[in-house]
Order: sequence, then structure tokens, then C-alpha cells
Amino acid sequence: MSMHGSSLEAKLVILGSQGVGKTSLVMRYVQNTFSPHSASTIGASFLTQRMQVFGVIRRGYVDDCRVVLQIWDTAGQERFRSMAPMYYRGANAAILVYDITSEQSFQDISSWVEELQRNTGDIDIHVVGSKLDLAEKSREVPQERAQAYVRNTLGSLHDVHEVSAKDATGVDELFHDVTRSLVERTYEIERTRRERQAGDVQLRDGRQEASDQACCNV
Amino acid sequence: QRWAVLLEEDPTMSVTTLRKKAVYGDVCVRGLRSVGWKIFLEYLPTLDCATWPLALEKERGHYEQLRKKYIIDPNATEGADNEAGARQVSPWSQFFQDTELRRIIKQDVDRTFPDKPYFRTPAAQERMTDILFVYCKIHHEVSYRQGMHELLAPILLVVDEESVDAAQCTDEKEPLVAAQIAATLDSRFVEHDAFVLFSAVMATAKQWYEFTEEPRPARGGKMANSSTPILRISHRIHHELLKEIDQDLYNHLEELTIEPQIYAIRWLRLLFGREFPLEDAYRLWDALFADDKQLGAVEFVCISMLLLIR
Repeated sequence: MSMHGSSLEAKLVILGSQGVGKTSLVMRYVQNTFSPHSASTIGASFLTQRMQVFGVIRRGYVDDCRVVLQIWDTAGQERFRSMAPMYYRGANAAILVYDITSEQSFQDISSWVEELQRNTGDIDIHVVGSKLDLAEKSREVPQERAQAYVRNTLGSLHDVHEVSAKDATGVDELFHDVTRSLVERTYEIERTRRERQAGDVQLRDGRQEASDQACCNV
Repeated sequence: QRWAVLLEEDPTMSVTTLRKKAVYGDVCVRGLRSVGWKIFLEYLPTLDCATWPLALEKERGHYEQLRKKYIIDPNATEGADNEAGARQVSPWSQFFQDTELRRIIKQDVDRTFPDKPYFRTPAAQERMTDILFVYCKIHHEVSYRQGMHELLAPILLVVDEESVDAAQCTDEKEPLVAAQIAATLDSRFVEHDAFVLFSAVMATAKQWYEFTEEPRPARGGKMANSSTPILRISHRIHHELLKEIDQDLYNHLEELTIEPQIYAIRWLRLLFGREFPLEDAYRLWDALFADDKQLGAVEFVCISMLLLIR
């Protein structure tokens, strides 16, 4: 992730089981389209989306930030024989998608979370339940359960997102939250680094004095 | 007659000459593409159609047997029980495993070429699922991997479109030859023939789907001796061929840290099927099949595509 003034480029990877609607989600967001039959993703496909996040606090000021999101949309089946690291390597954020009408796809989420936590530094994880439009007819995963899981695993500030690529419910909000979270984290990292650097300088100055004294004692 | 082209060929024409001609694209014309593929992929052993019925009978019979063996009804317990005893797997547990495999296959079959009405028909979907299922049963080592469905789909479409009702096909001048060609295109064996051709393509393509667990390859160098073939091939395309042919483009991709398998996986697994409109992909396949049953030219096609995109 790199920042130039108030702009930021970040890599976002979309993961989840086969057929949960990862591509449909991305297509709804990037092109605002939906097709009931979208071809299976082979390997991965890549899209870029530019957006702007307003009103983030940076160095004590309210700031706007331009973000270029590099979206890596992966094939669901890659999970099993683990081509996946190639795709999530270097990602700043991950969207883990399950299908609210498929208990199995929700079960698969936890192994994704574990794998990402084990193999990546501090990737920002978001859990998303798709196909919300089918909730009344065939929901298998209650929202409360998903929410409890997310809070337990990722922390109390995290929420599960339920979305529908078909009728667009929640999609823009999801990507907006993801992007805002990326920007905030980046500023946070930046702030910590600045503080640490300031600390380093003081430390070095202290040593300097010590050695000066040592010098005088000789 | 649609097969006039083949009949009028020089009688001394050899398969080698035909292959050479086909690479330039004037053999696999509409209506005869599947016959061309059957010859180039060595389903049909020679150009002499007198030798065809035997080969057809053998391969179609083989598929028929595989189909009977693997597409089982667990309620038909007799016989199945004995066999299951030997394998220590109950027919029901086998049935559930198979159901899961079919479900995974069906998920991709359902969304094959979304804009081609042919693939929305239950008949075509059922055929694809059966062919892929049988293939996976006899190739446990890879089983089903996403993408195989799009290698099969164009084959099935060509074979089906070109198929004829064998009983309706007669030719007064050359009744025997007409009968033999009709047998080759017999609509009763569309599924069988698609399976045979798909298997022949997969003989080479299978390796592009294989994945071996191994320590995660570091960026760059190490992949040369990766045990996953697709990574090894991608590595060769990029670090050997491209580097040799276009150093600037190679350097540029290196700078952007674009790993070659990122694009090569889709290109190879689908044999470029998503990179071109279907008609163009067919012409490319004609040439690839005609050039070499083992598809030796694919790495060079990848290079050409890189140069073209440049």
C-alpha cells in the first residue's frame, strides 16, 4: 500500500467458496450490472476502481483521500489445492464471501480467516453474506450467528455485511466501509510510525549525550 | 454434400500433409471440424475412412462401459454390493461422494458460456455433467477442477452441431463412404465422441490443472523447479521465452512484479477460450490440434499474445 499525499493505492482480494457470488458482487460494484449466469472465474480476474473517502482525521485535520482499489477476484475452488497464497499475497484487505443460503459456504469462512491470519501480516478482513435477496425463501445462515462469529473472531468493532448483488442492497456501503477502513488503518500506521521515529530520535540524542560524557571521562 | 471436401482430397494425401494444411486454416471448415479434430487428436487412426468404423466402435463402446460403471443407482444393489465389499466402501457412501462431485461440476456447467443458448438447455447440461463426472472418476489424481467445463463445452458444441442422423445419410455414387462418414457424425454418439476428444485434449491439459502442495514459492527464481507444472510452465514462458524474445517487455513485467502464472493459468487451462470470441478460438484450436496432438505450440501462442498486448 502506498500513499502520496492524500491518495492511496491498495490491493483488495475477494475470497470464498465456489458459487457464492464473488464475481457478481464485484461486477455490481464496479459496473453496476448483474447477470444471473456469470461465467466461473478461472484463476483470478483483476479490476481497478477509483473512489474518494471523505472526512478522515489525519494529523489532527479532517482530510479527504483518493483511493485506487486494485480488486483481485479469485476462483472459489482454488481454496482446495491452495493456489490462493499467490492471490492474497501483498493484499491490504480481504473480503470473505459466503452465501447466506448455504451453511457450508459459511463454515468455509473460518478456515479462510485462519489461513489469512497465519500467512499475512495484518490484512484487514471483512466478512460478507451474499444473496440477501433470497433471505426469505432460503436463508440457512441467521444474521445473528454470523454477526456473533465475526465479533468473536475479528473483534467487537467488526460487523458482518449482508448484501445482494442482484438488487444492489448493501454493495456500495460494503466497498465504502472497506475503503474507509483501509484509509483509517493506513493513517493509523503512519501515525504510529511517526511516533516511533520521534522516539528513535530522542533515544539517539540520549545516547549521544552518554557517549559525550564517556568521552569527557577519559 | 458437406463432406465433399474430404472426398475430393488428393487420394495420396497423408495425415502429415493434412495437418500442415490445417494449421493454415482451410481444412476444418464448417461441418467437418469435428472430423478434423478426430483425425488430429488421433481418435480416427488414418485418413482412410474404411478404418474408421472399428475405431469408433471401440472408443464409443469404452465410454458406454465407463458410463455404466460410474453413473450408478445405489438402489440397484446387486453386483454393486459385491464390488463395494471389495473396495470397503458402501454403495451409499460412494453415492453421497458422487453426488457431491456432481454438484460441484454442475455449478460450473450451469454457468458455461452464459450467452450461448445451447448451454442453457437441460440436455446439453446433463451431457456435460456426465462427461466431466466420468472423466473425474477415472482421473482421481486431478478430479474436477474449475475450467475443465470450458474445455469440454466447445468440443461438445462442435460435435453436436455437426452430427447427423445416420439413417438419413446416403449417397448414390459412393454409398459405402457416405455411410462411413455418416457413422462418424452419428448423432446417437455425440456424448461419446465429445468424451473421447475431451479426454484427448486433457491428456495434455491435465497437467495445467494439477497442483502439488509445496513450500510457497518465492517470487521469481525458485519456480523453475516447482513440482506444480503450471508454475513451471509459466516460469519458462516468462523467464526463458519472453526474456529471449522481448527483453524490454520482460523487464517491464518484472518491474510491475506481474507473476506469469497470474495470466497463464487462465490462458492455458481454457486453451485461450476466454481470450477470443468462440469462432476465433475454434480456428486457434484447429491449428493447435493439427500442429501437435500434445499441443506443443501453446507456449508460443502465449508469447504471441504477450507481444500483441504490448
